[in-house]
Amino acid sequence: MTSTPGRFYTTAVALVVFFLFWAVIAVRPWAQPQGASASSDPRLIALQTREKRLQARAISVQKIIDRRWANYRTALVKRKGQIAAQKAAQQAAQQAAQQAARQVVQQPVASSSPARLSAPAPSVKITSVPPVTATKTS
Amino acid sequence: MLEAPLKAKLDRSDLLRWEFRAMGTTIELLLESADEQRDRDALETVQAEFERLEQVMSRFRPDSELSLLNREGSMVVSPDLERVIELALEAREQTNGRFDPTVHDALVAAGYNRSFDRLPRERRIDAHPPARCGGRVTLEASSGTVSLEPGFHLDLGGIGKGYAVDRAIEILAVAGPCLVNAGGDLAVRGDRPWPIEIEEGPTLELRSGAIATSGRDRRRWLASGEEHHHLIDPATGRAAQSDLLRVTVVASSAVEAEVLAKSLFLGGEAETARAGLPAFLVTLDGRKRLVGDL
Repeated sequence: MTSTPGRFYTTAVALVVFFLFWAVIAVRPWAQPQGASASSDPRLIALQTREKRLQARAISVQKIIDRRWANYRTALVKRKGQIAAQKAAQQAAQQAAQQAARQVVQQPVASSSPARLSAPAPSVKITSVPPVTATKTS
Repeated sequence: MLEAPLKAKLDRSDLLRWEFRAMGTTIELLLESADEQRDRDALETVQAEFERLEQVMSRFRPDSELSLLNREGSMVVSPDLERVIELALEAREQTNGRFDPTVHDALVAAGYNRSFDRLPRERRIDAHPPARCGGRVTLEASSGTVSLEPGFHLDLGGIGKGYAVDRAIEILAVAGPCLVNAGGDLAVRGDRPWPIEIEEGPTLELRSGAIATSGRDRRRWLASGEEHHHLIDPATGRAAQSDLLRVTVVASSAVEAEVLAKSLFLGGEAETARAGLPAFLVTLDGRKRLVGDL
């Protein structure tokens, strides 16, 4: 091996072999893959199973909460609407009553006055209930 | 400023009772109480209305609108006075003159010239010819002008009180079932039975309508040894000579009950029995009769 090309090829081959070894060593083919070791641990498997079960249950619970919340919000809106309607009706009734009272007091006394003649007599009967008041000659 | 009521209390746990003086008598208001403060407002409104109408229609107040009309003989009147005069004229027509708003001078001639509370129960009055009744009253609806025939004056005592009761029951009915009793002129309204005791008679249950009693057992006085009472017979201009002591009539309104009671009192027992109206009457000899639908 005294020729220059021979030494050159020998050096090149040696470099290639060196890097090949390096690459093989870097890959660490003797070491077990990480997932393989985890999946083989029964405690981890149990934890993972439990985690999945809990996640599934959390999702289920969240769905129930969401559904109940939505129901509550719908009922709340409906109830608020009912309360608002009742308040409006109450106010309208109150205003109508006040208006009616004002109209009765302020009504120009025309022929529509409640005092009138020749109307049919109202129904009346004798009772034994204790009286609330008594009449006398006016 | 309203006078404090004589009585203001819850009665029988659900009825608010309110009493005050107006129109020469004690006014009694009963109201089924739902909201005591609101109800008190309604009761005060009614009290104020009574006082306002008394100022319009009292012949004993020299500054009332009616007194002014009686002095002036012709004037434009307020809608209330116009309506009461209109009702009185309508009543005169329907009762063939038995009810007459122009009995004022006959009442004064008989000695009833001041509020009955202030009237001496026995006094001397000068002899006088019977006062004329049936005076002409002209009502111009377009202008609200009332004109009285010279020499005639108006007395709206009975019908005015009935009118006030009808007004009061209209106002009070807005607050709830109610009763207004103005010294015997009574009206009820509302969906509940109102048991009302008739003097010397049965208790009547009324759900709506009115009751009035006319008689010679009250508002009577002695003048120059002769007994007088306030029910003037317009045909004679003197206190009515009836075989009835008292008649109580049920009608749809207090004005109508007042007019009918006065007219039937003058008509006597037989006519009251024939009228077919629900009524309770007491004759001069003490007999008591229920007539009409009772």
